[in-house]
Amino acid sequence: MLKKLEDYEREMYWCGREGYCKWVNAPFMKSKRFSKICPSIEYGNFHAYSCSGRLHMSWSLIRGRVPYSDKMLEVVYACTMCGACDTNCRVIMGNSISNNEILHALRLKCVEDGQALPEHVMLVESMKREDNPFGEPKAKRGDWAEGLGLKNATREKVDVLFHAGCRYSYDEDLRDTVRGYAILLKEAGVDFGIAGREEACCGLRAFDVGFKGEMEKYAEDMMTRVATSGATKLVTPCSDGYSAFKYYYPWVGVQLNVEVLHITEYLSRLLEEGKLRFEKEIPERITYHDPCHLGRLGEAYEPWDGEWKEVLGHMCISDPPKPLRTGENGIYDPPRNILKSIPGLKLVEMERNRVNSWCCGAGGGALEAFPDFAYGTAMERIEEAKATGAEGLATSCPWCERMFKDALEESGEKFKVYDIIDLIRRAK
Amino acid sequence: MLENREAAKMLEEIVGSQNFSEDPAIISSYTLQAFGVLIGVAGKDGYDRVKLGAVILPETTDEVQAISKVCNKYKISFKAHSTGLGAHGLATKPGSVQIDLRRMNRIIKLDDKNMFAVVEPYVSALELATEARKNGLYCHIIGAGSHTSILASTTSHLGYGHSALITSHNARNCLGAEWVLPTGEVFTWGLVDDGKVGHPGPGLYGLCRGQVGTFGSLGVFTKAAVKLYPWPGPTEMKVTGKSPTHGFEIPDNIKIYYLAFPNTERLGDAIYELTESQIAYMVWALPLFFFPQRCMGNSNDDHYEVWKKIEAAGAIHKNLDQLTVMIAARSKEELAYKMQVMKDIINETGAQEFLADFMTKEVEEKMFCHLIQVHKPCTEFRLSGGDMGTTFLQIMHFDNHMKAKTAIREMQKPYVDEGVLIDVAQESGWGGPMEQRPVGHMEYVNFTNPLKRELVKRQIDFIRETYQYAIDEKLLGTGTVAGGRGETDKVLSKYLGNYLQYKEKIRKALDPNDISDALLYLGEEE
Repeated sequence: MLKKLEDYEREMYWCGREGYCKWVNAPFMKSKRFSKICPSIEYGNFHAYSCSGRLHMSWSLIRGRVPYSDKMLEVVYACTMCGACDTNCRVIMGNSISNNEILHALRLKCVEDGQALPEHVMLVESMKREDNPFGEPKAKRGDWAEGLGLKNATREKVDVLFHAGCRYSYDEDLRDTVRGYAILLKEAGVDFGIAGREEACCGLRAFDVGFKGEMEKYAEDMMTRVATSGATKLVTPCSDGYSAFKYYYPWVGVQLNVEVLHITEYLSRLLEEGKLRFEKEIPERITYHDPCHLGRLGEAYEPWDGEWKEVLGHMCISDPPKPLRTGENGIYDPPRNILKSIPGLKLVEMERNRVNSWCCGAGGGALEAFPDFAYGTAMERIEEAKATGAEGLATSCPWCERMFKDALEESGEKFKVYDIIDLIRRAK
Repeated sequence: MLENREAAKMLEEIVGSQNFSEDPAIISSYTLQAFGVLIGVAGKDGYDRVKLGAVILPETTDEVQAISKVCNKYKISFKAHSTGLGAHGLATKPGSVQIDLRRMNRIIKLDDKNMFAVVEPYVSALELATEARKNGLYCHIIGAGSHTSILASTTSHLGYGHSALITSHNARNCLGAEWVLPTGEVFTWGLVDDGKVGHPGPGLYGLCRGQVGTFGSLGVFTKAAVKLYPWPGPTEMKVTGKSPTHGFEIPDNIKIYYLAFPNTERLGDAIYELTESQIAYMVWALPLFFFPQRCMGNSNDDHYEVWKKIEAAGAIHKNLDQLTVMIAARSKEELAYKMQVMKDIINETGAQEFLADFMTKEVEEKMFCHLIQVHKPCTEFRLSGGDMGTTFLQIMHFDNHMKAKTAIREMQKPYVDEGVLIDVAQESGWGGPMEQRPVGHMEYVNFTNPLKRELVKRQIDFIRETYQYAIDEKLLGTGTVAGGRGETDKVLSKYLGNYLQYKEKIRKALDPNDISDALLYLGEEE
């Protein structure tokens, strides 16, 4: 359940500024060039831009020792909320500090105190008006599926409810991608449907910038849609949506009571069952980018409402035991399994991968409020991809794909960026 | 905010507005740091002793020099820190300038032939070790962990890590430095510049850092040349296990022994034998209590569960005198020879397998990874909620260490019974020999609830008691006072050649304008 920033005071003190929120987990450090894990402090440089710094700043905030200022709000919001600080801190702090929860609680407090950034207010207003963060007409949400003859899951019972997500629904450049997924499911004989114009945003973009009410509302909507459709599985190609359904909704107390799968998980299953086969070769070296919301933030939420008690004098243990979020249980292997199954394709890993992946820059409202920061973060990842000798980068998140493509265009540099479905379709 | 607005404007112009801040929110993120209460730089609630005037992020030595000159001109105190673990680098005078050296983060040179590297302040020990390992080399990583600044530990602080047997410790690994003095003058020596050779020598060594370091109290070190040592393992390690506690696959040419001795005396004997035979790469004592934390779980909850199992198995008493020994060889014959010597030492000292029922292959791989990367020591900060104490940091012969170890066990008892310190089954000392000699470092960690001021005061009483013991028993080694508390200096100086007087003279000579922040160098002013 959601807690207030004040409830984390003890955890804030727990941080001794050991630096694990800034560097890649030590066993995985392969070079100095790619040794860092936090995009935010690489951008802002002052300690305040690290998770540790934000914890210490929050300590001052809740004690009324620092006033809100433009600089403070920049510190709070120039962060992609990628969760790397959360999982990396576990190396030393175990389950003692819940960084991701504290960073969200800080933003929730800022919004409660009337300190939201105008760019984020616009984003939330768009959601309120049109159920998507772009302000695109709600009526056009299902247009992407035009001519495909898909079931309407708000009227017909289906086994699988396919949630396209906002980015795929409205981004014209990605239209073929989402249609490709739907075609693939049809060809595999999956009984699925979409909610079309009735589909709505998952709300995570609003929650990430401190507006909890929006996501709570969308969580309730989704629960109703799932129940109406009779689906046993909720499948989405959007990693934001996946993370919302798996992690953030349960955190705010909403259980969807359905098996939640990312499309790469589902396709990986079809591959194993022989319902998806690749015939053509793709003789390319490809590296895979782990989207934060599919990896670290794709791990299911486990609630904890316990307390800390002292044993052996003053050793702190949790009662009942607090679940340990490691990020290890996110979705890492299914997309890799798909890529490895494509004939001729050589999958090469970037230095920072899986739990230690570097963010694309698109999350946490950073792109809306601090585009230079977001573009810089994306280009750092492109540099890392290039360093592998790969000819292109594949990902399984429309937000990451859009971010990389826009950053490349902005910089004038060239590099191939694929959604996994692009490669699947070429290989079929 | 700085009182002098002209100075603020000049400082901002030096680094640009993006790298200078007087914003209270930015400043507040610098003031809560580990050890703050213990070393006397924190306020009543462990926080905000002083209001800093500004934080500044220079990128070059020229900028550091310019900052220093502005501070001298306007009589503004300044202090620098690198990676920032520990409150030792925190500026403590009201309205002072905190220099954060984060933007000075380059490995300027890695000379594998001559086995040294030149680094800037924000290069972490693990970053350097990672690059060095690609060239068959390794650097000393201090026990405070992998993400500490290699420059800080070699120029300004004391630290001691697992590999000291081979790599010495960083106070002795400095082959040169670039030093912006408190006056703003730049002083360089040794290998930091191309074409120069040599070592600072004892006189200069004492001037710039001494054994313990000045904690940033005498200007700013902007470059350091650091000695590197041979690395016997592969250039790339194979990671095993799951997040967050991973292991490294142990290569065939490396063997690790986890030993438990029948008593402290026999443990000391083993250290003498090991250093005499010179067969080991690492020799390190880690108290039994910390094994579950380092490599048998991921949280305090896991730690406590394992500890209860160890207790239930009746394994505490017989595993208190622990030693980890790593041997490494370049050939099968060398390995066989070293293993045979190990066997002899084990037989002679009566050592047994440490925690026999608990050291699985998985645990050993995790421990190996920790020994190499030194990334788990900071788990200590989670034990009691964000802070820890350490005491009796001494470099001396191991017969003295063993004597002190026994005594400190007894000293801890009443503090545990009183409810001040965590019960670590009395054994809290870690350390090991250095430079293949039976001389080395030991320190004794201690934990209380850092949020309860009265408990912290009693913890400090315990720390003082251990130093009083050192005075009474004439066990004051060369590494005393590494806790960094100027107050402790005042107590101990008279027993160690009145060194504080020399420090005062050094400071007057180097800092005529009284600009540097000398709390941790000289203690509180009378």
